[in-house]
Amino acid sequence: MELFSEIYNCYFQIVDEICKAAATTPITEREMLALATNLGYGESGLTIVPKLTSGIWNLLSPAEGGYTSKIDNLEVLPLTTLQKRWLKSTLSDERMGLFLEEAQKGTLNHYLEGIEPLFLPEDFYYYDRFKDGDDFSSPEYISHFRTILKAIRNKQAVDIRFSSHKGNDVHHIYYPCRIEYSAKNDKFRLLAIYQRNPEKQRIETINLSRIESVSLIESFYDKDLNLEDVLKNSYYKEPVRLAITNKRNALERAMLHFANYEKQTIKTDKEHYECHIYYNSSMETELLIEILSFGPTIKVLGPDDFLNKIKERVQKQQNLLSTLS
Amino acid sequence: MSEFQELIKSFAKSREYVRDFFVYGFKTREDFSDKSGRTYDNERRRIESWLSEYIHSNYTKNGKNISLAIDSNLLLTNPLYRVWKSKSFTDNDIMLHFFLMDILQDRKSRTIEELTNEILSNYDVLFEPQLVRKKVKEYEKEGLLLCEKSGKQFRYSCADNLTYAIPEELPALLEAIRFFHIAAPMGILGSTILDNQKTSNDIFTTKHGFFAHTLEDEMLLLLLTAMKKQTSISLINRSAKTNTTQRITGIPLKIFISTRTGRRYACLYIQKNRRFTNVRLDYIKEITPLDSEPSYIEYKEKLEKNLSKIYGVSFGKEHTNDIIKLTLFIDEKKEKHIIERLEREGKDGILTHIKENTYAYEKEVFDGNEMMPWVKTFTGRILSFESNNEYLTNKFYWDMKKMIEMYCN
Repeated sequence: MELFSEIYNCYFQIVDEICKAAATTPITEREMLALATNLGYGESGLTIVPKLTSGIWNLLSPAEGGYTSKIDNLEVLPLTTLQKRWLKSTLSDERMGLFLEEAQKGTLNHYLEGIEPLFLPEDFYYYDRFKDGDDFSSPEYISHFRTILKAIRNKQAVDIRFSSHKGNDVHHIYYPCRIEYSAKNDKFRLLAIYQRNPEKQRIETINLSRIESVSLIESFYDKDLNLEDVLKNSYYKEPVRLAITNKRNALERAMLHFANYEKQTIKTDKEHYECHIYYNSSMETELLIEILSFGPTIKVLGPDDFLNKIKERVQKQQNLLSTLS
Repeated sequence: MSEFQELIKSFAKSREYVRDFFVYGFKTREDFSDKSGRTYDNERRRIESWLSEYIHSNYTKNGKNISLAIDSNLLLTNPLYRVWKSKSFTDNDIMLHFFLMDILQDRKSRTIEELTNEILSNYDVLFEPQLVRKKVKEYEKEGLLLCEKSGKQFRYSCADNLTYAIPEELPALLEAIRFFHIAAPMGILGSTILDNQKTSNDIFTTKHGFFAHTLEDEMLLLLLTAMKKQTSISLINRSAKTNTTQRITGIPLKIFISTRTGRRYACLYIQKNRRFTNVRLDYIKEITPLDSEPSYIEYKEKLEKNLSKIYGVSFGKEHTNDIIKLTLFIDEKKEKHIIERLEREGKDGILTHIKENTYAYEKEVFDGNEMMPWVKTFTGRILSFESNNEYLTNKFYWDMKKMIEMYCN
């Protein structure tokens, strides 16, 4: 049971796609190359296509207008035992109830009979996870989750009523796009488009646990929204610039701590590094306190607005300490 | 000079390079001085090929450096899973894979001789029966093929696939796999199931997703296997912090995970010292399973009892626990969220309302040093810091003094 196995190799996936494409009509070298470029690594086509066309991998036959596949029955591969063991582990995860009904879980369990789970929830200890995670077993929560999931699949609008973090009652029509999960907060959040008028739209984030009601409405959107671009556009042009002094293992700690952000780091001299972190307004407070947690081993260099917020907190701290002393 | 290959035989070497490019991203060719320049060039080219759309090059006075610009908040999958799909194989491996799976799709069983003959008649390719047998045995071991004995012969058939076995449940299950492949341990396996089903995730993202840690999944698999079998292990630990290599023998009981940094640790009971210890997974270079441990459950229960006193991963060096007391200024009317933070993140420390706008938080832990980063997140509202560990008190006030010098002078 190897994890690093050729069974999961991306070349096998590409060749499978090529064989499927060539099962009924001939495929050209250019089409093969396009599939390899799309599904594979940067240089995969340069290896795969000659191996197939030369017959070293004797899976295609030359035909008029290209090549046809010798492989014409293969549909879907069975799962390996390792894949099944992973799947069985997810059955013990309480979040599985968001997706599958009890009866469906029973059917999956039957399919996986005799398979040992790869792990159980108690094998892991998330030692710094926040205490107020979502209640994934609440029937109301499950129902909201499934309605939102259905809406995203159908590209359908939903009518949502929720309580904001300031305690205000909010009620709008949204186009849900993505569901975000935070392991730290143990919470799901919905990323949805709120369209005030045809010209104005913005992405809003709604905690699923704050939703009081959600229902599908008969309004659909057909545009393919590139949410990644929309989200990326919400990032500040100027990254936070940090000077890191490699004391108390601060460099390694910082590099790992900020690994979930897009960042760039350069070495300025033997002990000093400059790190640029890209962020948006929704990440700002969290990033700020994460930086403070490093104490004097990290110094914020800019941008001014961010630097001023740090200065303000340190100034307040100075005032508190000097008042007491 | 051998021809460049995208695929690799062993994961160990590439894992270090990918990690360095992703986590650090400032190292130049010269910084990889323990390897030859050619090794660096090959590894760099391979990583550029695997992860081309995420590669960022930078020219500095120290030379060109390569980094991986990956923002986990925006992505629908972990790009580093691609690294796991790069295992090299032989020409026979790929042909036999497709021939055997194609023939056996009809769910009928066949002997090795029948399979060998069908490969020749269907695809016009002649294989030695021994080669076919070797591949069939390998696939049987992996669970792709089933074996039954019929008289004196072994007959092989294809195991059920998901589409055939659970057609009605499959759409909902695939939604679950789309989520779990980025949120559950060993999510790479979920990614391979999505590949298998020719689908991908288009809905779920993660906030606080630390993608680099998939690179340790081979070690995690060995640890989980040892935990399941309740065996002890011997491992080689190479600390990047101290640059030392050490062999450790212990009983793996749990995997500790930080949701704030993604770091993962194997929690071991070391019988020799009669102590628990945590070893970072990204420092583990090798794991050898040893004998089964009869007192496994007993050690596990002992660990469970200790969990409330561990703030992070350290079981402390001294016999005395550290007590940390923090007095905070909190505007009760406007800053309720700070009180909520203390309750949510304070790991059941005692929170006391002292007087108007003043709260005290107190917690006893094995190693108070681990609490210091969290304590500093309250900079701007700390009225006092007290501890029975003088070193921690001095450290806190020294840090604050330095911060004030850095920003207020």
